[in-house]
Amino acid sequence: MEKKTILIALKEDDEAQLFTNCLSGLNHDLLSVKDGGHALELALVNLPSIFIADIDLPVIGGERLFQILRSNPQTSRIPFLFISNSVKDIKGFRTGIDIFLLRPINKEELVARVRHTLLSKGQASLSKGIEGRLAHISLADIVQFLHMNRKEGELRITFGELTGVVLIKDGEIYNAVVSGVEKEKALFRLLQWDDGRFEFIPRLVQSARKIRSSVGNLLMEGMRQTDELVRDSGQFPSPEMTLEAGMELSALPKGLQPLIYEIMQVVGRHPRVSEIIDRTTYPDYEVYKTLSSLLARGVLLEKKGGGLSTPEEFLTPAQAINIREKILNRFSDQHNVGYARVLVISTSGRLTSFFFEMCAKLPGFSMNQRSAIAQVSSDSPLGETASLRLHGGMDLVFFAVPAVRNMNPLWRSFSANLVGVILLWDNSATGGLEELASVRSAVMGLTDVPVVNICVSGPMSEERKAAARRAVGLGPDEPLFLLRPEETAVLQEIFYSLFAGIIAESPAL
Amino acid sequence: MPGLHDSAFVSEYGRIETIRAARYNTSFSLVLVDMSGAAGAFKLTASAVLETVRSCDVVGMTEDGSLAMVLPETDYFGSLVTIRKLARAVGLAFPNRSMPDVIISQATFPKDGRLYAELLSNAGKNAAAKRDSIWARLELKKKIFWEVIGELASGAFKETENASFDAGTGQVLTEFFMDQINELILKEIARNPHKRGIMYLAARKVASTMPAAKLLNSTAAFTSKVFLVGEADESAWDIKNATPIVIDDPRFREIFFTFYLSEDSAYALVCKENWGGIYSCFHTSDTTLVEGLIAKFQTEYSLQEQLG
Repeated sequence: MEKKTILIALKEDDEAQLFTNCLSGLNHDLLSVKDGGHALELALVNLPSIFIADIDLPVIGGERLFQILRSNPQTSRIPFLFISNSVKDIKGFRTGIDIFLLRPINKEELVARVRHTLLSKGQASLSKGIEGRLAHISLADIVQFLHMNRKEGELRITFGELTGVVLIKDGEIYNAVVSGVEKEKALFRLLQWDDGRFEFIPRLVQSARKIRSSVGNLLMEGMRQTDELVRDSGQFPSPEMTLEAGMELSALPKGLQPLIYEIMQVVGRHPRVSEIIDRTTYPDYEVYKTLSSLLARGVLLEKKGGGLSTPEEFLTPAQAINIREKILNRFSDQHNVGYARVLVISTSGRLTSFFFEMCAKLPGFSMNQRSAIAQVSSDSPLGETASLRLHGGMDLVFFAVPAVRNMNPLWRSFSANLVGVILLWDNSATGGLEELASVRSAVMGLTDVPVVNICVSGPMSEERKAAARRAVGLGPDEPLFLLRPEETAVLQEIFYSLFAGIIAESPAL
Repeated sequence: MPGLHDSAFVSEYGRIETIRAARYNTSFSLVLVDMSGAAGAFKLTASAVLETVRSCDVVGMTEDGSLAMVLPETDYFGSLVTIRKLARAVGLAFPNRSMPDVIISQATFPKDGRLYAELLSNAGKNAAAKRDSIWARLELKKKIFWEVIGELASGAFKETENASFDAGTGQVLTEFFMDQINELILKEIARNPHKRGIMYLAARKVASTMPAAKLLNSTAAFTSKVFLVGEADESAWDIKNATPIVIDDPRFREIFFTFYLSEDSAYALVCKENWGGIYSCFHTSDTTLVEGLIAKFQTEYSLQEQLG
């Protein structure tokens, strides 16, 4: 074996002496320095075959040295062996090339690691590498080429500040590393890069195989997940969103996907979506998809923006989860229930608008403003007019329909996911009450959902109240709410009544 | 060609299919061919059905003498396409005789139930609804598209709960009513971007200035197909999320319609302009009628036969 140079940069004399003694048996040239400045100088002059560096070197730290030498084409391939007292995340660390050892150092391991590094580097120098730009040939094509030719070595991809590595042995992918993540997660991230440089360095790959799937499967799955991530990105939580657990980890049933438990463990310490994505071991798309699903089910909750004042809650998280679960239980196809519908049947468009204006004071309530005929939609609301963000992404959509018998086909057609009905009238609607009663009876005959009856009126005598009940056909046990513009407390009661009806067990529609 | 099984076999197969579909989170459909009105034509009808279905479909008799078909991996729209094929095959099987009164209905897992018995019951209910539909009662199947539209827009029929003329009795219906209905449907589509559906919106002029275009342009991509029908100017091709169907037919200047069919909803609105910009409108939530109108429109204007 040809003689190589080992550069040792350790601040403690005793430790440096120990390393020199251990490595002298390898029969290579040993250079030892005590600070980062001298180490950099020697590295540039002597181009060592391995650089052993203390993380806490004086003058220039070990990590900074690593980055300086990595950015220099002459020294970028020098493998580093870091020595440290504690675990540290080193930017640009190349798994399979660089080594990280924690003190106390095991002498045998040190010698073995250095020997292996020098040996593999020697082998690599026997072959010639391939390099180019991803803009000209995609990573998937390069990997397929290496697979078909049963190559062994390291495929290094650089894109801006980021560097990723794919280790290939006998044409199979052994591991991939980028931005502190590895395995399939890293490979799928690398497959998304459409620009940057790649370089294949043939060398012995001695690290353990961490990816078990075949190259064909990996590429197919990676491309699928990349496509779906792009396609569905609008529906996934944004990376800046912060989350919190809606329930204890111990309260989760057993037998769920392992990823769910992993997310629930991570979210306590790292609430930001981007952190959860980085710190979980599963591919990004799977994590995003699971996060979406957990948010929709209320297992995870969106934390109200850090530092911003939170709106007054009128439902506790436990109540909101309960409502959501009861809504889901009403439907046989629970996977496709992203929203629930409440019909608002009113004797006039003016009343519907008034009701929604009052509801706007409720936390999570919003008007659907998208209309090309805004004035008409505001005077006579029809269809999806407003929504209440219930919990974890589930919306309670308010669908306005006039209380006219001939409009029945409208609500009959658009009553998917129906969970409740609100009937609205006022004292001036004497002529319309008959129609309202007829629509009410048709709705109740077709579905089994709670109906909330609201009369927009000031205080009424018992006699007038009874007359109003009779006109609409209310039973003696059915509550009638009197809503006045200045009284918002009644509004909360109305919604509690609606939710109570939803929570009450009832058969599927 | 699949064989004809007995009711025990098809029930058991259907039960297993519900377990499989639940396990793998897929859908499947049950198609029911009610032959109670096809006395004496059972053999010919059954063989037409068996020749039409796929080799993976399982066909069997039910206890009341209907044919039940379990269609694996078939969603709602897939089952509607199958029904169209079956109806055509049965029609062709009786070239010299009048077609027997066969009602073909469907139910899809999990939308219509998670148990085989539920699916069978809902398919039966759908068959009853088909029999009661205006489409069957007025024998609209035998009429051409514009005849059907004319009949519906004139209100010369007995109204039902799910089909009524003069949609806004007591209300003045202006052009904005149609715009509101179209917006309402487009919002439904946007609310369920992954669900399949089909919408035909026929207007006097298809252009990027029409209210529906504004909503279409501002909506994210969705799976449903939206077709804008009528005379069109150049700007029609700039409308996102929709395909213009340019038809130069004067009837589109007098009568406007919207047909919408999805897994959850079926709705048709047909409006005729009266004096002073006031409209008479017919609308319906009758699935059979909506599907029939769409099928007739596609056939008579040589459009691609598709359902979402």
